Amino acid sequence: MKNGGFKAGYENFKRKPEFMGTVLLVVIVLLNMIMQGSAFFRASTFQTLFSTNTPLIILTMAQCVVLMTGNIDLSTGMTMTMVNCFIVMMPTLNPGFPVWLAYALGFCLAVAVGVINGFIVGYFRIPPMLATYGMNYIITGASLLICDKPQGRVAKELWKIYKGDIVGIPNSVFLILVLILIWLYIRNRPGMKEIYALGGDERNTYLTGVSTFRTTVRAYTISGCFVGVAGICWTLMLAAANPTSGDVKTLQSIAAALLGGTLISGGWGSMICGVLGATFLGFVTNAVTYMFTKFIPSLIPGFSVNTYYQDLVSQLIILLGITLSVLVSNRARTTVKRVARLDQLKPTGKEEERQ
Amino acid sequence: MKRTRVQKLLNNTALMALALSILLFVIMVCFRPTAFNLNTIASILSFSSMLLFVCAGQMIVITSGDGIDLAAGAIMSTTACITVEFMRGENARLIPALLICMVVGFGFGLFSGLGVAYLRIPALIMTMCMSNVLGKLQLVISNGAPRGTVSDQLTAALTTRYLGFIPGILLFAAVFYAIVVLFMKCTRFGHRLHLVGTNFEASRLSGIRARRMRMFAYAIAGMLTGIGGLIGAGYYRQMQVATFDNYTMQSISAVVIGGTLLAGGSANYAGTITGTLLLIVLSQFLSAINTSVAMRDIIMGGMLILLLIAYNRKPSVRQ
Amino acid sequence: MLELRNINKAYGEVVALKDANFSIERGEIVALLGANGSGKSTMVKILGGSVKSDSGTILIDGREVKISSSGASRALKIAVAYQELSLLSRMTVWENVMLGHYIRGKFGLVDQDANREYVKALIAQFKIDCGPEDYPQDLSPSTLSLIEIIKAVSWKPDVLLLDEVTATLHHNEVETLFENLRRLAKEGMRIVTVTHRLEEVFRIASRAVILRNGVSVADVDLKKTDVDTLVYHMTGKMPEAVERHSDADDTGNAGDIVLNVENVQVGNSVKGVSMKIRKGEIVGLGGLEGQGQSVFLRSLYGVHPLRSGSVQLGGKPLSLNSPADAVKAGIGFISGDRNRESVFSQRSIGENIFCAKLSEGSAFSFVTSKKINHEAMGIVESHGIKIGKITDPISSLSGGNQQKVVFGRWIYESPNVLLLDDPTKGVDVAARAELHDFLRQAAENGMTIIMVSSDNVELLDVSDRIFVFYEGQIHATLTGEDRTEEKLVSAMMGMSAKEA
Repeated sequence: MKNGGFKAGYENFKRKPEFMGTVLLVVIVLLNMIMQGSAFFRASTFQTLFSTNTPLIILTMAQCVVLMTGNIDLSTGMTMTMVNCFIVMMPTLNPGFPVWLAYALGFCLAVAVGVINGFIVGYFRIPPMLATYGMNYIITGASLLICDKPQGRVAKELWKIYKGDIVGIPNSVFLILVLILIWLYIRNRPGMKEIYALGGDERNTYLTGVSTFRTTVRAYTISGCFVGVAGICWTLMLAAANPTSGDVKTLQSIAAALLGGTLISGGWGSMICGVLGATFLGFVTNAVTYMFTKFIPSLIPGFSVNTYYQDLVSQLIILLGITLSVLVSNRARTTVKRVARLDQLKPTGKEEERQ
Repeated sequence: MKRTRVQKLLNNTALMALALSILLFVIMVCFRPTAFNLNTIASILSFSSMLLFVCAGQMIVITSGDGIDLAAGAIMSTTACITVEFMRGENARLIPALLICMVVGFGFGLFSGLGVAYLRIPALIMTMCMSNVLGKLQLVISNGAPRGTVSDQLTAALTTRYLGFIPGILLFAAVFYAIVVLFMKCTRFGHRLHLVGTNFEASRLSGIRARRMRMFAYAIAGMLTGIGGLIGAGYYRQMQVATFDNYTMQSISAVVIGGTLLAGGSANYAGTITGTLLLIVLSQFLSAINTSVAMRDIIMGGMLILLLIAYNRKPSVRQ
Repeated sequence: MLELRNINKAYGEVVALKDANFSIERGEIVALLGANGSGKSTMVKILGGSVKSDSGTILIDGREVKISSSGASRALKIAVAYQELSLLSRMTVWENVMLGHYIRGKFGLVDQDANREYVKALIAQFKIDCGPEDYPQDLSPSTLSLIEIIKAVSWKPDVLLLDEVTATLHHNEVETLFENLRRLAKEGMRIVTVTHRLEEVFRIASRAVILRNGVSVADVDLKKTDVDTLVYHMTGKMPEAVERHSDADDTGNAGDIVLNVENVQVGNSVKGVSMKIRKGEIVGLGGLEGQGQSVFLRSLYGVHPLRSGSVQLGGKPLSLNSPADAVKAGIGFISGDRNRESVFSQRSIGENIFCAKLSEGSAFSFVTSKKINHEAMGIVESHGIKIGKITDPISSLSGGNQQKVVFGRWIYESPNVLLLDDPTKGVDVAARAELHDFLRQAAENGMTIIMVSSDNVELLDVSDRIFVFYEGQIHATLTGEDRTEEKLVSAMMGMSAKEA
């Protein structure tokens, strides 16, 4: 009986969105173990790995919520950067400004960006990619306005908390666990089900009486909250303000979300997928670096390649991952569209590229 | 209802863009009278010409319907780096360099087009990924900083100022653009592309291989941008990585301001020229009144969003 | 009482509803009937909130209400089970059914158990063959229809609208459904059922409201009427029995067989259609909307892949991957959905005519606007299409003239086989007559024509033979003397000789 239960449980798990991400993560951990041996499991490895990747992990969680509605947010990375600049520069430019207030307001700033994005996409119905792309430029400019070059300091006590650990487990991991718990709560709220529905099929969700506008704003707002947290972590990690550093994180967060199993077409995925995908990406970068600097040279003496090749390989892996994910999601969509009606095959005019 | 002459003029987007450019120029000169010299005009014409090489390709991609090319600037930067590394100052290598740029640009575009047209990867994501990959590829090819220069003859041809204010690059751009317009207006491909962009389903049902057309739109755009990379490298003589990356954003704005519909199917050739001009004048204007780079980004981004609100909204679910 | 008074709705030039009326009392089950284009689907969508009426009033228990969105409709306790289904494929059955009104538990979370139990009870009541945790992709079409129904019922609405829900149900499922509907009506629910299956109407409804061409033409007590009278109200003709089709009847004009279709199946819509069509014939495909005729036609143009069966063109097997292949094989297609499928609205008239020819030839071949306009002008003149200038955008023409331009496109291309899908929808009478003349002329010149039409008069006017589709198959063939409206109407309704 126990065996039967396990098998049923496994079959059940295969159907969940977190499956693909878990598989990838297991594979990459094994790969790392093979290449690095026991050195991989040192606490310091995990410490750096997680504290550097936590902002990306949280950013990916934010992106997942938006992707689930069938939308996208190309401004998350720079919003995180803007929060960073605001938090550090406010007290620097206005001495006496309470630091805790800077953090609170920085967080609110990210939420505000989320709400605005939700409005532009949900009310004006501008395609989310272009809308958030434009927003990204505005936020980039705003960050530069607040802080024109890397500068500023963050109190040592604060970033020590972030980079510290309890019983050997990095504090950032605890933060992620807390956020996951928050996710597990909101996941079961009716509002979240409406988010999934909207991403699954906008028309059918509308016909069921659900307000697509409110659902869109809700998703972007939740995303904004998580971006705010990511911004705070980013600040503590950099221990300074840097107005351009978050740029690459946006595409990385999208790639991570897709790799973790969230579908770009919407209606499928979860924040846990995001965590899995982002952790995977972190390990991949680690693996690629290790592979090029230590592993391959140990097999082929004299092999040496500059960091540019490594960067290129990472980018290509991202491109490949995204391609695969989109292919899988498109294929899943066509097999799943076995609708019941007699005239199901009426042509629908312009194609689905109306994203 | 008869349209008055004035109304007709106002509706002519290309003309409006030109008028705005002149207006901005005049205002700039009022702020900074020293700006009114042949040198400034020559600069404006030079930069507009350079940007035009990218805008032509962007116009083609947008005309193909639901298309956008975020890798445009990156393709130009990459081919520019390749040019410089390949030519190493030898003029004999000019033609081969040109061919390489065209083939390489075509290849990158084809790759994007494949993803967009056949794998159904949203254009924005596909071209953005390409842009990132190309960014790293440039570093790999040039090992961080491209060495070498173009030939002196090329630079001379591009930067000589005839009559004091007409730069050589303008002539190159003029010939280039004329060929592009000819291609779009007078070949089957050009006509088919307009139909595909106007109504994808109808073009498909008329027997046009609509998906293939979409893919080739990106490929051809890449090829044209590749030529632009050679010219850009020629103008500056030496290259740095990612010099032309911000041309992506500018090309989108220029093309849309010029009157080419973002939804596709309607290319405004004159408009792309005047839109490009407007963008460069705007850029000069902003730096003349001492706006920071940051403010410029905000203005460009805000302008794009406003344009989108005006030109490109999804239809509502309720009829 | 729910009342709709003087509802008007037009989509551009096409009038869907004109001063239409409808009313239903508590506990009543009313059938809303109508043939193609009658407006019944539009009426359902207006009540459901996904379409806005142009004018008219809606009253619930004497109070005027405005249905401004789907949400507003639900708030007014109106629920619709849609013909095209409103289910989400990646959510479980219970998540689908309870969407928008989940039962909440502690801390505002969805109470999974409560929702599951509620849905389970509904599933048991309607005897549906599935569990609350199943996903729609694994269920059969009839099960999905039933889930769409319980989804509407789960809202405990005052007004329940069922839009063509029985089409995929098996006989015993229909019986169970009717038992439940009767129970719900007894509890006070107002139920409106829209259907094309007339025998069912007598079993379940007490009253029937019939729409024709957007107007409410009759409101009858079903105990005091019969099927023939209903058909008469729906179509204006009393139906006359016609023999059911068998593949052996294939008399046609003498001539070579140009198109040989053998047992073609397409998706779920076409369930085994065969026909032999001769050169120069005009074949009409008739039937109520959505009976498979349109899908079948498009599968001949490479738009839909065949599930099984084969097609031969001119004796050679025809294998199409896309419409481009079809055009190369000498087949053309004219759609009635002008804006989505045939017209390039911002482009000039000349380009609209030339575009099929444009698809041929190398991409780099030279062709100027001047040449296009010149050639197009030739077509315009020889066929008397009234236009301003050849360079005007096609949107400047009336619907009828736009369609003439589209016809011109294919006359210019001159395919061997021309397929038409409701080509004169929304076209004025005069233009329609001219278009019919085009077709007759083309057929005389050797073009083979297959036309789907929802207009019976048109079918009878133009076709040499008419195949009538019903639920994915050819129900009857009308040739020679059988080509009367009464027989056509009877075949459309799925009636056979022994019934009428």
